[in-house]
Amino acid sequence: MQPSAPNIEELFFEARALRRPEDRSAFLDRACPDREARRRVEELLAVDTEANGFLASPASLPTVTDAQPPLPDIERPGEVIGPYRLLEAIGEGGMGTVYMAEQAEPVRRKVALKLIKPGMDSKQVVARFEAERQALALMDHPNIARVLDGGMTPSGLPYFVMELVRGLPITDYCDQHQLNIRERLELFVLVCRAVQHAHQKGVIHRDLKPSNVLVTVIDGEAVPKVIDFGIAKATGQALTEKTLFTGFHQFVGTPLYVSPEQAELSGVDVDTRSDIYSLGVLLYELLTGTTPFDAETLRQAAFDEMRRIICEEEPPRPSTRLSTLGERLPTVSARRKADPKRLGASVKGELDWVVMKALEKDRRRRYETANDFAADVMRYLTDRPVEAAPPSNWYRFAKFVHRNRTALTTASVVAVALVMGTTMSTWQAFRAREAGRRLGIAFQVANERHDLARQAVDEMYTEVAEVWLKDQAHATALQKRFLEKALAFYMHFAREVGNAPKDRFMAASAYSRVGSIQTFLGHPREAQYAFHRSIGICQSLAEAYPGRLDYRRTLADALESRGRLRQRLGDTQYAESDFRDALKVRETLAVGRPDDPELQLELAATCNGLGILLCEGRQYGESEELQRRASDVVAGVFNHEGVFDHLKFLARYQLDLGILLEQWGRLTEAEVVYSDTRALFGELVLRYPEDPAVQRDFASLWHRQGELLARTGRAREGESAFGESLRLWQELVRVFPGVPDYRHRMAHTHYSRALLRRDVGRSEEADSQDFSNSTYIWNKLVFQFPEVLAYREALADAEGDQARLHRQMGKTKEAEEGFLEVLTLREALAREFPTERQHREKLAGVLGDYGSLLREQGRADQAEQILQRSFSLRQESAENPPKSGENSPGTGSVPR
Amino acid sequence: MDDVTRILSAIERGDPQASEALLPLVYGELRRLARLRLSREAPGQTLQATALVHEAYLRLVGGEQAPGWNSRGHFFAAAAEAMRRILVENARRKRAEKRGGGRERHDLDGIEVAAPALSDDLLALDEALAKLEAEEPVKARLVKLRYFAGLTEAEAAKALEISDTTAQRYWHYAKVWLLAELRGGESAGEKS
Repeated sequence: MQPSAPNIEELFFEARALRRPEDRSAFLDRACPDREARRRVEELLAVDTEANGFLASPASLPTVTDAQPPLPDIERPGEVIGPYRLLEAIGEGGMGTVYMAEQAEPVRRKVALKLIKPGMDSKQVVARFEAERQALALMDHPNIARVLDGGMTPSGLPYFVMELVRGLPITDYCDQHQLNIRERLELFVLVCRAVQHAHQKGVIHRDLKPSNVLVTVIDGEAVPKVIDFGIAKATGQALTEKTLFTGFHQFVGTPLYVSPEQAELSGVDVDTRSDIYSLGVLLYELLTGTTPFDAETLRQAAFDEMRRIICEEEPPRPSTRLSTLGERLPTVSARRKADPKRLGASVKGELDWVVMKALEKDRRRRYETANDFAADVMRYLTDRPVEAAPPSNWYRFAKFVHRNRTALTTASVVAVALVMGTTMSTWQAFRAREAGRRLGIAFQVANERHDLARQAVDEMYTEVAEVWLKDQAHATALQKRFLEKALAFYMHFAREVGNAPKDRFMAASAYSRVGSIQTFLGHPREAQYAFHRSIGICQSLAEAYPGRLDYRRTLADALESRGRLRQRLGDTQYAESDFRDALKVRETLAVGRPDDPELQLELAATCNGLGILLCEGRQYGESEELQRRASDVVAGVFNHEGVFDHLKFLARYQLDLGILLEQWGRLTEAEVVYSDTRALFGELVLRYPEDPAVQRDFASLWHRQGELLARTGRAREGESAFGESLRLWQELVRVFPGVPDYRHRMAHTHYSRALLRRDVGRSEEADSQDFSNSTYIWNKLVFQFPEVLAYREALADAEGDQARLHRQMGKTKEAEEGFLEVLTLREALAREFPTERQHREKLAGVLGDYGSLLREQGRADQAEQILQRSFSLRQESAENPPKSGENSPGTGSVPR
Repeated sequence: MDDVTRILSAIERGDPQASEALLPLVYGELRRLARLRLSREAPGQTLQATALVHEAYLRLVGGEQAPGWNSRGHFFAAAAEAMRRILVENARRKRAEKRGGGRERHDLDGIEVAAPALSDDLLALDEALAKLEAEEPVKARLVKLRYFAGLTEAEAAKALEISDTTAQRYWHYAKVWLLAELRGGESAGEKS
């Protein structure tokens, strides 16, 4: 704690008296004796506005309920209600008391009779029950307790008669029997199925909670039974009519399991998804031993506050909740036969997502049916990816490994053999041949294993890596490790050339994969070589077997991959010829099989790729043709197939067409294309709210529109387009914090808006909202990925512009600091890339700006020195004019 | 009742031990009152601490002979402290129930609608208040008088023998101080 410095208080009040933030900070600059004091005063100022409401009313004590209103004396054991004789009270709930009763007619049996507390319109309750009766009678499920009867006692209380279930509430049962997480989940799936059955018969439970899900043991097996179906509806609708307070209090029972829409008390608007929510709470409790919202908190909250919590507050994920259980954790873990340290880990991830999906406030985002919910839990139980969350690639990979443990072990055996320089399979094959029939079996096994290993690696690679390679610009350490392993396999597979076409084709595919991996790992030369090999093999195969589609298809893939690689390396000419070759192959494929949508879509993708390449080379005419063709092809498939997915491609190609037109200078047309495409995306985001690629492309579109509007002098519209773009980026960055590309693009949109705002004289906003945000993001990216050039260049650009703006705004100190930062960045870039003109020129530019700032400040000596360097750098550039064809927009250029 | 007036006049006379004797008396009376009132009230209500303190005052000191402000001030200081302890105990108990004894009470059907002050919030506030007391005793006493005994600004100023404007300023500063403390506890843990 800061020792009591008497002047903190005074500083605080003096600063507080100053309304304008600038005045305040100027005052604090002057008056604070040290940084600590200043920090403290600022801390106090930060909460100043909240102080008025704080402690506004004196403390109070809540009253506590314990007593339940006593039942009227009439209905007691021994009493007879219709054909039922009450035997003993077996349960007490919010709504009333449950008795074991004996039915004499028409059959002698024991039943459960639930007597509802006095306090509601019995006739209405009974009438509603009668209305529901037919639906209830239709339910016939081993996990649902049948509702047999309902009526009114002579004293006017409603009652319900159900199949008698002797059991414990599911939570208690699980704890008492120390069921582990899997066993709990298995029971829970049964509960979901029961609820699904009821839903299919048109019955919603409305009051699912542990005490309504009893577990009995039948033939040694735990069987959950859902009780009280139909009763909440019969008793509950009084809610909307009666006073809310007592209504809630009495009928809905506990708010712990109630869905937000039920808590809203709009009453009418309850559907099957409300039960899904309650099931979610139940699962939460089965996993963690507590409900999502703290019982005590709800108990203490005022009525409106309680509703607010249920409707608005995001409960902690189950794993988070487990981690905050503190001293209760050992007990909770023991009841789940789990190690306290590992319980959280076992719930974290998939189970978290599954539960949280069921607990979504917006019911449209929950599982649609109880069966879907059960299916996702089953997926977890069988080690398949759950649907509850957009799965990260790592997650899918982990799942894959878990499921294919055996196969992968075999694969690792192969890997070890590879490292030792001999191939296990060939070695065994050799031995097998040598030993003849005796070893025939071993030979077969070896080959099978080899195939198995190959298959395992292939599957793993397609499931995991291809998605990585597609969506991510940079590999994490873990991904690298994985890719290097896969690479080793494929290199081996590729070298294992047999003469059979099948073997050669396998080798070609393996080379292609090696190429992709090497590209991704940043080894372009090795990648080119691998593609080269793959292309060679495929070409000769395709010539020899013109009927084989897959040979030509792999050939086109490899050509296109090499083309993209060469394009990235700036080897435009060769890239173009690869694309053209690929295009030819694709065309023949598409013509030959017009009914295969995949081939058509691949053709479109190649048109699009070549189109982009030509656009970069300013061959606008042909590029336009290609982009239009790409769109047409997709549109054709779309008409043909009616598959909505293809609209995504259409939207992307339209976007690229717009970009082309914009760069060509056909701004009006570009604008038309953009706004058409926007309509398309509007529909797409609704249809694929979770698809990051759609959101990304949509954000890019808004960004492009912003640029176009800025360029045509419509600053205000441009600003709002950038705003839309930023909104989407923010969402993407929030959901995918691990994808640097989204952060990069978001920074870029900030940067563009900064320039726009700066140019219309709104320096303050440009500075504080946009420049700062973009440099903040890029700084972090540079720190995280020092090897990525684009981030460093973008950061240097943005910081440079911000420093210049600071200088304009008269913020000399900030400007100077900024220039120094930029100089560090630019010096490094110029040093590392001595042959790149643009780095030298930009360094010269920054030196020039910095020098003249110093001169303005009268620091002539320093200024001269710096300006001199700037001058000589410029001269150097002028003496080495750019080579033709070197068009490097490079800096800060946004990936498409 | 006599006890309390006697103690109050002893305090007036400057007897240093008298203050210590006052607190347990007031505390006992407040607890008794709270229990009584809580058992009589319908569930789902809240009892204002102020009401209890004032009732205790009337019962212990008596309304008629109305002693001077000085003694009133001493009484309310003791009452505020007593009330604080009662509330903190209550909150601790609830927290303990919540953590340890949750199983016994798992059927929460018919949960009551109750007080705004959450037990954890109160406990955090109390911790912050203890820190404030170590640094700024007068301001901490002001907070107790106002928040736990429900005195108005003017009453509290009189009880502490400070001017109204000073009381106003102290009140604001104390609140900001506590808020910053609570906020710091939420995010960064202890401040250095």
